[in-house]
Amino acid sequence: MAGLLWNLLTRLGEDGPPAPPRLRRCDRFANAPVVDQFGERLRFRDAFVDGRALIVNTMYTVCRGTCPGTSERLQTLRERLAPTFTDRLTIVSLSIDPARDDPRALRRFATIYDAETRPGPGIPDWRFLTGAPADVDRLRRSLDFYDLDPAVDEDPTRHASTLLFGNTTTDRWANLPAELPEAELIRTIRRVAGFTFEERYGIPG
Amino acid sequence: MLNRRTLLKSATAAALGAAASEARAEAPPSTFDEPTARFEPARAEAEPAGAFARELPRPATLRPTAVAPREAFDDPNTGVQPFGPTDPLPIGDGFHGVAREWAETPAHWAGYGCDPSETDPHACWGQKMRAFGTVPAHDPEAVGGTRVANWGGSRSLLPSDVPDAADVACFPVKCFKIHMEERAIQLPGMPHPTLFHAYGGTIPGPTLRMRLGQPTVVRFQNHLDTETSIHFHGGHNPSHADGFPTFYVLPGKTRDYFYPNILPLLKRKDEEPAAGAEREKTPAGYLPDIGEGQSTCWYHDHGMDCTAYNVAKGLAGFALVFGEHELKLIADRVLPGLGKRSCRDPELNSLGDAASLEDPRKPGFYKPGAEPYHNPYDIPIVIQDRVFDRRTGQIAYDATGHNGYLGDTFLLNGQERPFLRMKNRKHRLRFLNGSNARVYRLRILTEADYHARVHGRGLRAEFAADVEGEDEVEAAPRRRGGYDETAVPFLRIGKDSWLWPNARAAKSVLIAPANRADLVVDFKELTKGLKRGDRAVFYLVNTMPQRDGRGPKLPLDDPGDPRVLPLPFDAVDPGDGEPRPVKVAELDRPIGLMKIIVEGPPARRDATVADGTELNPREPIRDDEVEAVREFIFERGKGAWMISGRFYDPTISNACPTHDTAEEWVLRNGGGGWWHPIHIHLESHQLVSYMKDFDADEVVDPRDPPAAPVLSNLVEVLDQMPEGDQVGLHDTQVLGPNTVARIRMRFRTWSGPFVFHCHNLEHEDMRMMFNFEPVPRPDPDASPDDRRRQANIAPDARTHGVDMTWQPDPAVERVGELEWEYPPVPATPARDAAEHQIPPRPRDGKRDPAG
Repeated sequence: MAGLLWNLLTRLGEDGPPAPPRLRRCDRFANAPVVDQFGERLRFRDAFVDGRALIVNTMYTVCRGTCPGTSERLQTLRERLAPTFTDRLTIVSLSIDPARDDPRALRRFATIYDAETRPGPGIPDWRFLTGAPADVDRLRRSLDFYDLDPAVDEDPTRHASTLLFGNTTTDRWANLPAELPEAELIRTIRRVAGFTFEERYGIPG
Repeated sequence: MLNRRTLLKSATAAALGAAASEARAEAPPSTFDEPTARFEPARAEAEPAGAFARELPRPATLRPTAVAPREAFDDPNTGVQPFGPTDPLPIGDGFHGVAREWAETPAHWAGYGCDPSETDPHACWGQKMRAFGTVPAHDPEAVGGTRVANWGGSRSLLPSDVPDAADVACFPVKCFKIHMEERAIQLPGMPHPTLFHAYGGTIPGPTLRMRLGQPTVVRFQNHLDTETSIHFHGGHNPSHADGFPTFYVLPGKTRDYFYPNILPLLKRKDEEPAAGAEREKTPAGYLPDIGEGQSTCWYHDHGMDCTAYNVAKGLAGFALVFGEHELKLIADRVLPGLGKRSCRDPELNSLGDAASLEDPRKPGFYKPGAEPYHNPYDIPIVIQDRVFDRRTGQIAYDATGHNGYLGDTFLLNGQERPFLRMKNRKHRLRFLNGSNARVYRLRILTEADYHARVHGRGLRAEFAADVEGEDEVEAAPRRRGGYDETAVPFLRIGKDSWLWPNARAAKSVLIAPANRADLVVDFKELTKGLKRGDRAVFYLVNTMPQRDGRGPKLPLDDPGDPRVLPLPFDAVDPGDGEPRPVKVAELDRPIGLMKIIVEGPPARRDATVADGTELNPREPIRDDEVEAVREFIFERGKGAWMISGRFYDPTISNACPTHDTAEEWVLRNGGGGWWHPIHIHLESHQLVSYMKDFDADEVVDPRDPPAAPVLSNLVEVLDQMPEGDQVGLHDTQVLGPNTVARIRMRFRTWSGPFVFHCHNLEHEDMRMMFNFEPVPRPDPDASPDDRRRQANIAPDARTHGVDMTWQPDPAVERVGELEWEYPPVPATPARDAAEHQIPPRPRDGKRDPAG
């Protein structure tokens, strides 16, 4: 006991106690294998939890409800946030109808929103993802896109039109409806997902 | 999820699936693939090893950094450093400043008798001291006057025309400084220290002990990497200091929160003032509203979009408020305490210097026992549930986000399932539900009862005999519960920030998130016949079954009544023979939260509070005070949370009540079986009706958003509520499934903005929040009829509740129009854009106020 205490004390004297391990909120995102609209195979956490800012939504290509509006909103956000974030921001649209949405279908869908080619320098990347239904389902739940009501959860036409966004370095996250006023959404994404004080609050720190 | 579609799986997807399962085989396990890092209902409901082995911590009380009269803070020669020697910046010189009420007079205070054109801060202060009146001192000797200035701060600034000015005690301004920082705290049983977001380095945050009549300034300095906003929950404070979601304390910056600790002013219209009150009347004819004097408040983070995570990480603490009225109850030994010794503040009563008051092991805090209003028999306890990742020792904020975060580990004052040693006498226990989404039903059980229920001895057999011959399924609900026969009785003396008008006997309390329950337990009575040297043991338990953020519910596989609590309170059977479901399901095995050990001989001199004892004066809001009626619907929509079809926008005002009037708000639960604890800032509210559609409970509507339930069979259940709830003050009103609450509220003293929102913190973050902004009346001399016309209501004022006010002449012009309409979201169907418009109000003036 005394030895333990001494160990602790001496260590305190030297360089303080060892830093406790950190648990990031983005650690909960499943590292599920997925494939994007270019046919590239990825693992979600390896590919996207890599120090960048992230916006995630769920969609499916034949949606006649909120998806077109949300995707259009994401296209605007991509444009408006590019000067702030450049390529440190990635937008991820995860298909919740992976059985129908293969990479080709996703690419066709991406064409509508100018995301069918890899972005040039300074433009945020936008990936549309699909995969094996079980993996996509696991990933979707780990990203908080699910409903407590099994009937709603099972039906893609009733999926949430929310955006999950945050920063994998600062580990700050929020989850908001995509239909908020555009200015409010941009303010919020900058504040939550920004890297620097100035990016977050629009004033020098 | 797509199990129906798996049959239609295309060849591509099948190939993808094969590739995916190959890849999965080599995937390293993620931290969150460990089951310990997720919410485990079974863990929550079981007694963990090593429970009740550590003592309940008492959060330490913060020492002020300065106590000085108001004018000393503006004088460079007096050398008062408001926030200590390490912080040279005077009040208001920090990045975010201080509320303007610190130095200026808002224009609408002309009605209180102030002169808004006065620019000298000290002259302004003096006018406020006169305008806000005085209240009788609880003990003239200890206080230093027979009356106490409601707006205190300085004797020398008190205008001489205040009657008997020499006899008015004016408490000097107190200053505190609180850092918000990341702090590693070693919890027992964890392999590593846990990283908390901590106020003042402690979990829960340092206790602030406030005195009504003593203006206080707290400088919050943010050392976290997140913007925060500190809400004084249950207080009556300027908007700048109220924790409005976007009034941030940015990382590395400070904001000076000015808490004037005043009673708002009340104008009694018809009645004669109560005896002796004439002296307290202000020049403008108001009286300080003593009934609004707070008791148990708390402060917590309220930053936009990130409140839930920040609070889960530890940003919460107690703020206990002591007013003359409550101090009198303590001094007279009505409420538990050391009598007059529990009514002293060492700074006000010169009871010692810093060296004798400060805890040498904890600089900046009082020595235990030396704090103001020290009371060993008054124990504040905050209950919080968390998920811990037991491999790293860190708080896991897991994937239940948008529903409401539930934990499986219960912390009481930061200690998991502790024990509490007590003297054999009456104790006041102030419980605060500091959880994000969990509703508790607290009971106190005897040791034998607890063990019988948890370890399944004795009681089950008794109940089995009772239900012999009945069908098993039918018998199940009867077997459950039976708590009311065996649970220990106690007194409930208050809810939320306020003491009830009378103490009431109870056997259980239900507290939704942010609710407080103020109890007095007479252990002397409970341990009658206890032998000398023996000890009696009790358990504080939670009997509420809850497994998701939606609200209390039994597991689906349970044969019992699925409606855990048909009403969000303990209903009293009205005895009218109506077969209403007042029966309440409770966990068969209670969740033990705290072990209470009672020792020693019974106290000879004990508090006198008993069932029915008068506590707090009551000022009900009369019909003729109500100037507008608004309805707000709290609903789920588009995967997030809405009020009346709108998401929260911090830049607009959703309701503009007229300053110094009362309104009636209809709070309607938008369905889906969710529980929504609705918290309204600024002031207390009073319940005038609580209705419930019991038939709607049977209907399950899976649509998202669910159709607003047609609550066609609403039954008034207010009279079934515990009496204290019916007449007491609230700041957080829980809306159970299929219920409608009608509340009345006064809008006094401060202009906005303020917010009201669901206190399920995840719902709040996902925009189940609205702004309201009291605005001055344009024409103070208007007749009562004109006043109703001038109320700021839709459509003219462009506010967003459904206006249900009766309008004698709807064509009349109204005021307070605010810019709020933004262009419809591009490319969304017109149907969606239209949802952001206010539906036109029929202009025939014949709209039924009941809708």
